[in-house]
Amino acid sequence: MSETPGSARFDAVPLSVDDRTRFVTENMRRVFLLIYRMVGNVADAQDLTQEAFIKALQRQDQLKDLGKAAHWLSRIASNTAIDFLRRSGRISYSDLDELPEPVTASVLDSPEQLVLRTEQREQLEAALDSLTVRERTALLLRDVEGLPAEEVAVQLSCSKATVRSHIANARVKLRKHFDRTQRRGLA
Amino acid sequence: MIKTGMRKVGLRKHVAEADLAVYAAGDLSWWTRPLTHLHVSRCAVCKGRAEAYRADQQRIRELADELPTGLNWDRLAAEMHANIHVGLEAGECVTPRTGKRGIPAGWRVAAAMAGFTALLISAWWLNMPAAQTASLGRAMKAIAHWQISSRGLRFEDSGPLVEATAAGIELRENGSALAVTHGVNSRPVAVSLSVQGSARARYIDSDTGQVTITSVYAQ
Repeated sequence: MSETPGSARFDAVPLSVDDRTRFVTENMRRVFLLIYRMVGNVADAQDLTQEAFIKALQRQDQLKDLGKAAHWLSRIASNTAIDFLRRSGRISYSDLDELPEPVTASVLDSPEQLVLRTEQREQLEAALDSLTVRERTALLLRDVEGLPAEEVAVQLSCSKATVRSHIANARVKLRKHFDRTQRRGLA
Repeated sequence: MIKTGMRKVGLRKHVAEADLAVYAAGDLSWWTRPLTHLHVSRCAVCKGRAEAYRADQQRIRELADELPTGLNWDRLAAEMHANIHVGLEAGECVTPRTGKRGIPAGWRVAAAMAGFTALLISAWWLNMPAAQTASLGRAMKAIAHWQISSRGLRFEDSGPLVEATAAGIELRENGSALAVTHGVNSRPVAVSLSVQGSARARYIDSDTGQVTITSVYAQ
């Protein structure tokens, strides 16, 4: 039986070092990317990912349903990022991290594909940056994390109707952004 | 604010952008979904827009799963693993351990018992007749003045003094003395002094085996 990310054994008893490592390894990339898309830069995403995992592992006794470990962790991660954005007054920093190591990319990507993907990703990042924090969070939780609208509403502490409105606004804004970008590319 | 509902384009009504965006991902409320679905299935414009939203959703999902350009994930992941481990260890160091703090349970019980006993003694003392209270007060004072002399156990006070010795019992006050002595052949078996100012001695005559009990009360 395959194991979904975040479905690691998560008993009420304190986890061993190995269990902790496994839980962190299985979820780290997903949590990091969720937070990164929310805050927009690697350095803050790194700090917040660490903070989210420490919070989660310190509160492991709060988790009752093992099947919901991934959602529970997403909730802690998104709340940590929202708190950070609130504290920092929604300031979005440019990613200035210059790492000496080569770019991580699939060996199957040709240089042209790589450039195209990079452009698309940058477009997405720019488009996400144009959204409000709540719109961005709602969109990421719904479309990327795949949480149902009800769960997103719980995470954002608002009604399902409000979540629908946030998601609709975010999708329409993104669509307009992509349309504009496409028109500029054709011109 | 994005408008919802239907909007007129030429002679036809189209689904509003917000509704279409929500409909494309299946998030539209159940009471508006059938009508929207009916329209989209017949309207090429709305169908195209709905498909564009679906494509966006898929695109976002794929792109959001990609790491930022130039990021060495392995190194970053290793660093985060280490920091999380250190953070957890540090958290365990500063987290107060329940049950290990404060006074031990045994001591708490002892303190509670001591308090209860003190309360009972106070209640008993306050309910005692005044005469007995004074007598007990003297007795308590007397305990503080017990002395063991070379001649035996004795009680010294500024008032009458009762002394039990090997020869007998003496009552002394203001230089005068009253002694109750036993016979030459008798020897004391047990001598006791009470805190209320009395002395009691038992003697056995070594020849006859007769037991003599002498009690002296001082007032």
